[in-house]
Amino acid sequence: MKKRILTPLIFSILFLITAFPQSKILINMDLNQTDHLKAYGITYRALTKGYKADWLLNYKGGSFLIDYSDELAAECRLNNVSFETITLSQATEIYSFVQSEENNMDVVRLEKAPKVAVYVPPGFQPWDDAVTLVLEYAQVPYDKIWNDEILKGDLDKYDWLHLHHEDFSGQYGKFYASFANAQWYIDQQLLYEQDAKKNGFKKVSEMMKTVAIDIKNYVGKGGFLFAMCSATDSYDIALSAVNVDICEQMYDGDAADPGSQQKINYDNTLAFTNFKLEMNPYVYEYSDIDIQPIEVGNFENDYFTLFEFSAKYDPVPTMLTQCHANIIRGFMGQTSMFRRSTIKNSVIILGQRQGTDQVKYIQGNYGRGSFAFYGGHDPEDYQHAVGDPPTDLSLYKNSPGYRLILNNILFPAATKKKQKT
Amino acid sequence: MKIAPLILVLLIFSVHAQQRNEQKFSLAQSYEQIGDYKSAVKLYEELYQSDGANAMYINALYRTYTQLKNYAALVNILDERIKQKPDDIEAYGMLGSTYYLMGNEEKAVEVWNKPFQSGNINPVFYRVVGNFVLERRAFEIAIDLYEQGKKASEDKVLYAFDLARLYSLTMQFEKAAQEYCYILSNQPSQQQIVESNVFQNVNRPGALDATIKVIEDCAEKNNLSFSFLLARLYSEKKSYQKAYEIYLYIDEVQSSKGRDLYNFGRQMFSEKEYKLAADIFKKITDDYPDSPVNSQASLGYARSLEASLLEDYEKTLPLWKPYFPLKKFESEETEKVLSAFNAIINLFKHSEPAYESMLRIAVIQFYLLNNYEEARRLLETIVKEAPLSKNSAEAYLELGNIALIDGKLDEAEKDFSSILKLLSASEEQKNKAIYKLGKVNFYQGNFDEAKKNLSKVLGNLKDNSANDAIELTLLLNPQMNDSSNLLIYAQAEFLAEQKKFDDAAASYNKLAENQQAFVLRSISAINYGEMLIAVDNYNEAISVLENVSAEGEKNIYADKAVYLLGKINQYGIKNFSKAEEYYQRLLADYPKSIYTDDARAQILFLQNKPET
Repeated sequence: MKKRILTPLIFSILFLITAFPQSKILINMDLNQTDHLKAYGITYRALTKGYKADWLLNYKGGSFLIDYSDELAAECRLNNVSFETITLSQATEIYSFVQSEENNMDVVRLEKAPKVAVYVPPGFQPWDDAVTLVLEYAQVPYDKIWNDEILKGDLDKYDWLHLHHEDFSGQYGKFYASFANAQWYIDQQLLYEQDAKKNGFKKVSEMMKTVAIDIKNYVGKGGFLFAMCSATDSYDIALSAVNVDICEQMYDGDAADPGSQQKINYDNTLAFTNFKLEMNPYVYEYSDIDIQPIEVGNFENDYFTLFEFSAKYDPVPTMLTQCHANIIRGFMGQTSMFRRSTIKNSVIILGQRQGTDQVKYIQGNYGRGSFAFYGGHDPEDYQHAVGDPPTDLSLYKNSPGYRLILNNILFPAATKKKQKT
Repeated sequence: MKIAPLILVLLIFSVHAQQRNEQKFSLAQSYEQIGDYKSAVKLYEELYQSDGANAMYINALYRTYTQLKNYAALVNILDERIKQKPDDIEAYGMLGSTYYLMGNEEKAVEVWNKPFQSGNINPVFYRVVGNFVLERRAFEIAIDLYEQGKKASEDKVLYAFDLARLYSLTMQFEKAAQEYCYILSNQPSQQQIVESNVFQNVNRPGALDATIKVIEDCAEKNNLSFSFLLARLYSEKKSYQKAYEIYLYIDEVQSSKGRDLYNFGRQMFSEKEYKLAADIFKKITDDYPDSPVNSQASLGYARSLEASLLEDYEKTLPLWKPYFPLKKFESEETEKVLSAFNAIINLFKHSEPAYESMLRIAVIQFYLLNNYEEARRLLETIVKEAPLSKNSAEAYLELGNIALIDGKLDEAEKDFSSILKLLSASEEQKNKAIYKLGKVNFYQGNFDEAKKNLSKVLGNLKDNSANDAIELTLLLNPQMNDSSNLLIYAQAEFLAEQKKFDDAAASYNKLAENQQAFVLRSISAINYGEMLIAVDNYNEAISVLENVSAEGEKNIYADKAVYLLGKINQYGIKNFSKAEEYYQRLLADYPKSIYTDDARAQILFLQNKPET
């Protein structure tokens, strides 16, 4: 009986070490790591150069093990990413330890660097968005795409799509009350209107719904969607309102459909259900999905906890929650956290504020693809406001909040394993 | 007699009906405000039935039907209204809007244009209908309408402002600029408003170039409002020479004796365009000797020349070296700067600008021309003649620095101590003086006094001198028991301060070879290498630093040695691949070194250097 368990283990270790050169680079991701964020960039670029990399889930904070080369070691030093050079036998010991049934750890082989697209309007600055900020910092290449590219079917070219704080509901971020006369708001509205016209839509909201559906189809076909801040709830709201006009006159020129709340369809959404729309244009909120600042209470106590999953049986949520910290400082955004009662039962909760109904981080599947929604705007700027300066990530090299974003980048690189039964 | 009661009854009935309608209207408005459009519209419909000519009811129905998207009912009411009252301009606006909302853009345009076909219409109505069109965000249609209004109206400037706004909004910046041209041409007094409107949009993509091109073409020579606008646009584009030419013209035409030029000169100084700023200030002092801004312009001229000279001087300094000798800086510009400051001293004797000029000359004499005597003479004049001047503290500080170079420690101590007595000295200047005093004490071998002064500086860790003070204090504390070697070390430091690098090198070398000197041996070895770098003896420096680095973890300065080896190869002997090798070695062997950030930056710089 014991022999039967050991045999596949030995074979898998042998498989992992067959392509070994003389030694390996172990990039520890625990508290000893000097720059967690750039470590992801190193691993990503190693994949693009054809190196084989393994992600050691739950081992020293979710470390990376990559074939040694002088080039890679120099790159780690240049980027201030700490690493150890280990021998073949040390690597074998680690593999054996990680794959042992006694430990809640596992090895995930990273095969190919995913092609990353970020949904951003023209003229955007990298610091408008935490994901582009961290991709730039970690030197992970990405393409910027917008409505035109999505509407002509370009999404198929990418493995991973990120949405940040763009508004898919057609209400221009609901900034009307505070910024209706601000030049950037006027320019933004005009930009969207011209784009809608160019793509044959009478209204911006109609175009955004089509874009939302295209993204949903992309996920259905096996794409990975990662959304943060208000892209999360506004995206699902757009899907729920495919056949309803929920935009007031100042957004699309005509009134919203009377009784639109009753007409929305929760079956269309990815993550949220039973939410109540906030249609007052003077209220800076889309719906009751988002947790209000008053519900958070004392900001000093705003921390969320990551759930621990079984690395061997639930590799996807395990990958998404790899971190050197378990309790992470919260951060606000137009959408800061999700109300638990509005989250669909099929969705997995990855992180939440203990003892509350405030959920920070969720993951779910649709069709052959997967999505992850992460509340808040900037993990290292608690209350990031319009016009605030960008966060200098060289001051937050070990940010656990930013690390969670980067887990999502490598997650599509993982080789799909057969589910254990 | 019988008619009177009947009239009374009718009057009472009428007043009562009117009151009831007012109450109903208020109630309907309340429903509307809370978003219950169905109840509101019901009441408005009843009121409209009772008084179909009432514009208030029609407006209310327009609002609520629009909310309920009951466009067909609205079209009926507005058609009826236009039949009954063909001169109700708002009804056309509302009907056009309704067709637009129904998606019938062609019909909407037809209705919006209808009132203007009669040919006898108040031009203000174009703006009334235009507002309805803008509400629908139909900007191109609105532009057509406002263009017609501009033709028909006598107040064309009003429409030109509207059109400029719409053209800017739709990013048609050339057309917007044409409208601004029209405004400035007809009402130059609108210049400030035009300028403010133009600059609200000037940073949008393509706006600046388009606006400049149009304004250049339409500018009228005798209309200064164009000149002011163009000068600002050129400044924004950083075409400073062009802007300067325009300000010269403005100054001449306005006979403002250099006032506009002076402001432009200041702007150029803050943009670090020192050469142009100097030209501008010179022009003012040359052309307008009686200008009210003459004295400021003279000082501005001298400061601009000085800033430009110092920029050139800094470029010649080998800033990569920890120490380097003061070398005379030969430049044609130096004389110009000195005479500009001298002119101020002669013109405004015993004034603050005169003492500031003296200080500036002294600094140039000291650092650039190495004429210590002349520098000292000027600095002494300042502290004797103007002890209350804000320049006195700086003058004492430089006097102390000169005394240090001359090896006169007592004199330096006196000068630095004087700063502490000055009322005009800032906290920062006093802290710097205390730190300098600590160093003087150290050179004198008076270590207790040195510690005392340095600890005073450490009382304010935010002060700029605090880091230097910490470094010296750290050295003093563990070494107090080794006072004879510390004394040799202090003397070597003093020689280095005096730029006597060869002598300093000998002293450091002596300590470096002394196995009993513990920490001082390590620091002296690295300092020995630094002295060799200072005198360009790179081969020897490499050998010394290689020895230090070979000691590895046994020498706490080994990382610094590797770093300096990189620097020598990069800047001294220009062996870039070797330099990169050393920086890589620093990263590999000393990942926690304070030099790693710069080493990384230098590697990236070398890797991206085209010739490497």
